[in-house]
Amino acid sequence: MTRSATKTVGFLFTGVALMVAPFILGAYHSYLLGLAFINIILALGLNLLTGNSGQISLCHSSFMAIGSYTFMLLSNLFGWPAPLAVVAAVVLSSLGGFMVGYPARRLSGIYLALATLAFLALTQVIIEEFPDLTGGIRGLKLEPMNWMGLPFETKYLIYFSLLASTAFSIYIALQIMDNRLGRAFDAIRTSPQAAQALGIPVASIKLTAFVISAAYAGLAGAMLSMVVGFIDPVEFGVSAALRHITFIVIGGMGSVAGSIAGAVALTGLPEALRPVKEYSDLVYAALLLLSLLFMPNGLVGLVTIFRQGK
Amino acid sequence: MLAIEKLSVQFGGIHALRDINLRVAAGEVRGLIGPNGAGKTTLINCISGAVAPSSGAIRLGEVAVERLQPHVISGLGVSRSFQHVQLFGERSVRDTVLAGMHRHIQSGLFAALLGLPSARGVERAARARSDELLEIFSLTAHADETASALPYGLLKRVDLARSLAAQPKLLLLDEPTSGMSEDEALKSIALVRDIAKKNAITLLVIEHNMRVMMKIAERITVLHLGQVIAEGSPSRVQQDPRAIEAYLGEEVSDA
Amino acid sequence: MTGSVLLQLLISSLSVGSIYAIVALALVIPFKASGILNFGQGEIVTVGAYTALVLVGFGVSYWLVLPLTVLVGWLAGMAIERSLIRPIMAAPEFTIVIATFAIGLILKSAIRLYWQDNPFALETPLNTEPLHFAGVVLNPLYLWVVFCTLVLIAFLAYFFKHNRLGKSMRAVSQSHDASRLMGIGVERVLMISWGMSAAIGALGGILLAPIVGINPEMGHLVLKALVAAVIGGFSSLPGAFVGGILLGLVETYSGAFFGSTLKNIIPFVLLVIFLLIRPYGLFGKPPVVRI
Repeated sequence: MTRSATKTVGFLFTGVALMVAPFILGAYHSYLLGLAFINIILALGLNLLTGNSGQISLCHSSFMAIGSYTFMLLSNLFGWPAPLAVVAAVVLSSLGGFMVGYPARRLSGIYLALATLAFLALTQVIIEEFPDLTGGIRGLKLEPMNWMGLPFETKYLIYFSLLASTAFSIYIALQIMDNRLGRAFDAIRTSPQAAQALGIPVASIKLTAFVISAAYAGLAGAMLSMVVGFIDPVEFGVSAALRHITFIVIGGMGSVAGSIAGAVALTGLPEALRPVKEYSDLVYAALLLLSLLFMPNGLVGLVTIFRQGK
Repeated sequence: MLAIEKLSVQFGGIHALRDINLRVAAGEVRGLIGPNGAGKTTLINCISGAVAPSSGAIRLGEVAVERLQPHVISGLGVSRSFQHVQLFGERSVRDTVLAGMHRHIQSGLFAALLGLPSARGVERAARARSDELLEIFSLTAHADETASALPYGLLKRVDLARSLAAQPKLLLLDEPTSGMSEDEALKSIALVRDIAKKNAITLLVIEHNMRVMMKIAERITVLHLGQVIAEGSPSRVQQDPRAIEAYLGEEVSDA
Repeated sequence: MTGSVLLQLLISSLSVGSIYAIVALALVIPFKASGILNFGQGEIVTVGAYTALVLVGFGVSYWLVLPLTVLVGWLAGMAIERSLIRPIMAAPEFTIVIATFAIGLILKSAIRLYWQDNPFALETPLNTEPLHFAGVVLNPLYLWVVFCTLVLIAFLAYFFKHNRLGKSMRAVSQSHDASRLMGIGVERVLMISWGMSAAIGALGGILLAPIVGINPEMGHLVLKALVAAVIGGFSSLPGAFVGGILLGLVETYSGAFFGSTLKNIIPFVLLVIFLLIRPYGLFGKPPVVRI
């Protein structure tokens, strides 16, 4: 078979497998699959921001937090239909992205990293200081959602919402990579001078990248609330931020395939490490460091080297 | 079309440019020569907005541009090539050239994000135009290759194609043929001149290769130590004693 | 608010500010030398605290534990620079930033593996009754912190001005190439800079330990130290000191007057303000940009 025919068959097979998965898999594996989808969405957004437009951001998980809390509060307190609450979560986290990205667009390097770190710390403080709203460090539980009377079991509704969201996220990321926005991202990462000279408005493109990545994070956050049914603010702290960065560093920065590869590869890890949960941070950090040292282009880079070696 | 008045640029204690006066007519091909360190690249950087001058004025037609942001100046129709080719990561040659068309690919943000037909149409048109440029510069065979994998001379052609993709009215070229073989250099520069003439593009070209310069320049300005020391037709400049002295000094140090 | 309460706040804010200043100094020194911001510095402080804990546990006198801890920090800093930082110095900024984070996380989780999240107290000869002086209650621990910081500043001021090694470090901060031309072993100086930075961080740890208790999350204060360094200016050592003290003052007084929520938020608000308006801080200078 030709290579593209193999690819098509592969995609079709994966698509069918994913459609029937919730009916075949047990609860635990469905849950893992759900987490993988969420991590893919997260990684896609972060990769666009850091891998493509070259902006170091340590507050990706804060935008995720905005999405999570928005979804849960709208659903719990106001009974919003789940899909609408998701949209609201994305809108609000995008706004957060704008709030951070706007002042930050003139910053770069460590100054940008510091600014995003400040935002991360700030959101953590806000989460802890307003426990009546956010549940504080104890977290927040999801009440039964409003699915507008759709006649399906909740777990299937959740799964297919998630599947659709993930597919949509991948689709948009692919569009971006193929149009002027993606090219502009790569240009401003590698050569902001040249990009300016070609008429690319660097500051506003950087802002666009922030907003888009925040939207992705918000979507992932809303989905996380749905899938887990509970928010634990530790999901939005510095360790979590580093874990998300690990997805794209290990998968491969700057490519959609890298985001997917990294997210999928590392979703299994915390579950595999559950019996030795205390090691989880250590393993992640070590993997991250080793990957930075020895695998600068991630898994995707390894595949490329392998293919060229053939 | 381009008027520069008493332009000065100071870095710390160093005067990179001192009271430069320069006028380039629309559609002209102007050469800019001078020994190393004369300030040629700094002058180009000022015009394109990469460097803010310490004093003086630069006018593009009626518009004063000396304090504008580079991408705004680019929006006014100025494009440039780079002495050290600036590439865009692992992008293909075609994508690199397409990046030069950023301003011209007009589609709504959401249409682009969702890949709607309107956005796709605009993108296709842009690709067609950049493929034309690739064809002109004999780069079609390399269109899908990673730009960074190409030899330096080819990269210079990619850079040229990219700067032209922006459909400029004023094109600033910073040593466009360095790294090319003599043959390639003459062919490439002739191509650029033809395209410029066909599209009424004003050219300002920095070159060290005199044969290339003589082939296309209609007038030449000579810079030395940040100042204009001679200006005129190529044959006149070649005989100007001050220009010769500046270069003789350089030839000795080049030995 | 009586005068004596204000004075008390002053002492505690000076001592908090001193800790920030110490950690800020530990951040600025390697930044000046190698251009690298060590986001794992907080964990070096934690390592210092736990080292002190271990030594005290062996019955070593506090007065010996103090210099020993600093020494351990010194050695750890040199080891980290040589083995982990040196190989990635030429890598893109993102890689280096994340790598220092990762190193910090490795240190923290290793500590957590052994000691878990159990808080520990550090017994020092200064954990005594507060002193009473002119109607003000003074905690000797706070005074000790301020004293040590002043000694450190004096030492650093002398070191960088008069000591040969200190002068080489200053040369390396200005330009690696020029220093090499002058015959300075740049690699060696870099290693020593990191050693010094870790030593200072460890000092911060052992000073901090009796005040807040020892736990794996102690290093969290690096965020505040970062704010202090931004306020002071990353390229300035005196700036780091001033930034730390200023932050301590602002934080403590705003906490006293406006409550703890503001106290927790204010450092980050300050950080953002400075990043937007004066990213090079009060005393820092922007790097020279060559096009």
